[in-house]
Amino acid sequence: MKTLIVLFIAICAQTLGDVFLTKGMRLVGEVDTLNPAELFQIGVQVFTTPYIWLGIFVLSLFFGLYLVALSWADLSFVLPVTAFGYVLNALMSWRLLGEHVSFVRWLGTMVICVGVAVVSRTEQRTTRTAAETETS
Amino acid sequence: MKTFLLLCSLIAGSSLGEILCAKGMQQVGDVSLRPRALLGAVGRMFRNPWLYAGISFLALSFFSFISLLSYADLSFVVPLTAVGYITNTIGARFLLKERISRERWMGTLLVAFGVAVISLDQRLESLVRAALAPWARELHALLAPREASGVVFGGIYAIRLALLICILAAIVYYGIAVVAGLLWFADRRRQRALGTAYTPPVTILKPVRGADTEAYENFASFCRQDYPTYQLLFGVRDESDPVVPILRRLQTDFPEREIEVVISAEEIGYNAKVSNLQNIFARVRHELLLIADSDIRVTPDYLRRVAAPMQRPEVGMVTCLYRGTQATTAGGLLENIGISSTFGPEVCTSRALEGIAFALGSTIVMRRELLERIGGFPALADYLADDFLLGNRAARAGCEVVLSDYVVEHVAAPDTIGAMLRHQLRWGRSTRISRPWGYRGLLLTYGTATALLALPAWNFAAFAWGLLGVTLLVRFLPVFLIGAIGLEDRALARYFWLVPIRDLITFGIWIVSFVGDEIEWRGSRFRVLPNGALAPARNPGESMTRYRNLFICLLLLLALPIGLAGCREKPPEATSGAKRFDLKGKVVSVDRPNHKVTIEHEEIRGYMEAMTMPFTLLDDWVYDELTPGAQIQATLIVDTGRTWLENPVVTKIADPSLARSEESGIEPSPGAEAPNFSLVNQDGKKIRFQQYRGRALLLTFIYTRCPLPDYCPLMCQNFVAIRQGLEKEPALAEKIHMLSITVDPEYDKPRVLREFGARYVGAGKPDAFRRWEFAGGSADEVKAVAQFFGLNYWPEKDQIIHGLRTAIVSPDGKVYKIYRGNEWKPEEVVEDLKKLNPGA
Repeated sequence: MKTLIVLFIAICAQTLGDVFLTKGMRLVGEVDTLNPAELFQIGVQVFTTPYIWLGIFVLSLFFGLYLVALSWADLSFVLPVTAFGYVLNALMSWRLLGEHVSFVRWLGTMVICVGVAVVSRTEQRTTRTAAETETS
Repeated sequence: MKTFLLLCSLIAGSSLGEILCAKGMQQVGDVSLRPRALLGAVGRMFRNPWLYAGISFLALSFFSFISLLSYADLSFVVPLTAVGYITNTIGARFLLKERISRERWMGTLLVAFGVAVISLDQRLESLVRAALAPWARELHALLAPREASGVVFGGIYAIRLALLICILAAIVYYGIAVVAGLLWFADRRRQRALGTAYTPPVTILKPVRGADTEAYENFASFCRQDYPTYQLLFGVRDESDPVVPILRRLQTDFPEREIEVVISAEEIGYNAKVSNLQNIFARVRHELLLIADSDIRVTPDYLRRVAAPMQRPEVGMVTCLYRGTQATTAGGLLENIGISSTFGPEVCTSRALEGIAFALGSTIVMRRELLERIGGFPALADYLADDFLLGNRAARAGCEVVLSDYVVEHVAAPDTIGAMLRHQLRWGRSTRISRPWGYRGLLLTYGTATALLALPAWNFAAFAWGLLGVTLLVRFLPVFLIGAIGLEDRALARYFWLVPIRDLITFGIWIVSFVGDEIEWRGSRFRVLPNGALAPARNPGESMTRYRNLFICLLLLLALPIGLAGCREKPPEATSGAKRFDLKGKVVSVDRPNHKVTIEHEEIRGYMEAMTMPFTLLDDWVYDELTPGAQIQATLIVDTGRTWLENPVVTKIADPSLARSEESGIEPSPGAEAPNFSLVNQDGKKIRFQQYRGRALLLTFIYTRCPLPDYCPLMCQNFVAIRQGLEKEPALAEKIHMLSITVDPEYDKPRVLREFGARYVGAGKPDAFRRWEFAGGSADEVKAVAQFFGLNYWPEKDQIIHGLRTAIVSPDGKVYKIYRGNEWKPEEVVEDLKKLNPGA
């Protein structure tokens, strides 16, 4: 349960981070130049946009939590479960961003939901940790 | 080549990265979330080489991803992330030595499949649309009730959809049952090929209680076996049982047979039959056992034929199907029909689909050694379905359970219909409790009942009758094949018409069995526990929760007629004074929520000349076929101040893919950032949206050759009106820029636009176009703008079929408001513009 909760927070952080980054990059605008001077200017703009910093911070939080979850559970457990992010993503685009979510995307989202549910019911840890190996 | 290498490094990098990170974290050990411990763990993480390697690989894969994106089509790269789930799991299996259960593999594959579907989203969407759209439309037309709306519409729609799924599933099931029957026939031929020479000594165990119909004949048939050595053991619970004299007579009539009657009232559990079996088990002399119910009759070759499959070493158990015979009452007859029409096909189907993991009490042949290995009779003592469990445990112990080619005769008890129902209900409840989902799934095999329910659901339309006919036709295939040919039920020839009635009874029992968890069995009441075991019944009224299901059932039953009553919501009835006219024309736009269709119609003789105007059209189903550009014919009814269309016929459907997106109207919501579109204005100068920042941009779409008075010309007139409205407030006018964008840029070159625009902005003035421009551009440029505002258009002959969109983009470049169609008034827009610029 602990693993699932931490993973859920991690997934939320990932989705949120993606949204912040997207928002930040939209503020910067489309990169349609290859001129080094302009590119540099865009670079400066990127790193002075608070949304981008926020995005990077939230994403590193995600990675940290993800690693913590890996210390408790199998990779083959954690990885499929993080796919739940697609579900949050679809919900977010639908409700918060007001985007049109196509039928096929809903379908894929539903399949992922079922898959995650199946995986999350399996045993979380099938290997022994270093500590356990030492004590045994 | 470069692409391939980058792809490899993308997948390998991410997989290896993840695996190395996991490896590192395994070494770091369980991270505790308590602050101090967490700090320690973080320290260990920073010193862990695996983690560094993992993160480097992840970074490598990230940069490969970015480089791929820079030149490859995104839609081709992204689906590969789905592959990552699979490669990672394989990696975790071999490199991290994680044990990956079948369940986890299934979940992972589902996730990967879902991710692939999502990433192929748009391609699949268009593919599915193109392939399935006509089907979906047909299906929708079939499911949508004609004269209902709102909740009632949804309810009926859902009921119809559920029924259709059930009926189709049942038809498929009947087909599967036929194939399963044929497979059983093939297996029967193989069994017969084994011959009847295998005759090891057998002990027959017959638990009996009371005298069944023709009990003596039934027992005697077991004494007349053509078999070298066998022992017959009868178990009775009570010396005074009426069956005892019959058994004594049997012993005197067949002195050459080894017949023993064991009378013992000892009990080892609630199941009296199992206690009985346990009591006679002590007298068993032979290694091969045969357990048979008391009401079974067989022919002399029976024993040889059921023993034959046991010569194959992998076979642990043989069991027999049965046919009901000699019914003297309606209850008995219905019971027998049920065996041939429903039970037989069910057994064959589960045999074909998952192998037999159960046994039937009519005959169970097994070795004594296997019985002891699976716990003997005491392990079954508290279960109702002892025969089912015996076979189930044998199968789980790794033995093959064979369905014999021999079909025994089950001599029906003279049951009343009530007794038959109680027996079925007992079976239903115990199955429901021990296998809840499998039992619910039985609904998908009840084709007769669901097809019958479809009649009222479709208001007894021809379609529903057809469905019922087809279902019944297919229903009789397994009845005929398995019941009549396989089980040789001769009564079926006379009473085949009872099959649908029996099906309905089965369905009724299925519903009722969801209520309550208590059963009546041999005069006592028991409660069935979730594992199928029996426990004493509760005291009456002890718990109300068992009535919960009853309430749910009642609610569902109530909901059905209420839903159907909603069907009666009729459209307006024309009075006798109503006038009717034929209308013919082309659909210009569709407003489904308000049931309005704008039609560019031909002259309506005796009523009005050709023009474009909205009409009321109530039939909901037409809207699935109505798309702009479609040809429509209908009857126009003019009745005391109201007009509406009836009997619509859509004769030509416009390009569905275009029309559909017009309908769904993917348009930006207010607040969305308008991209910096570029266009070309009436002077041939390039313009970009960005240059209007600081002013509100009011834009609409037109084309100069538009013949419909309430389309483009109306838009232009509205703009003229808005301009006049604004001129009253010069400060506000300064803050507004108007833009009419042509959807026909091929024809509407700057020169054409300039000429056209001059009519509205006033010719001759030097700065006439300063606050109102007319713009075109390349086809792609225009398309991009139109798509953003949710407008679709396409050329047809030398016209452009298009909807209408007018929008305000606020001074900071965000969508402020979108006006659909031509119903909006210039004054509204002026008001909105004032609200947007309160200071001016």
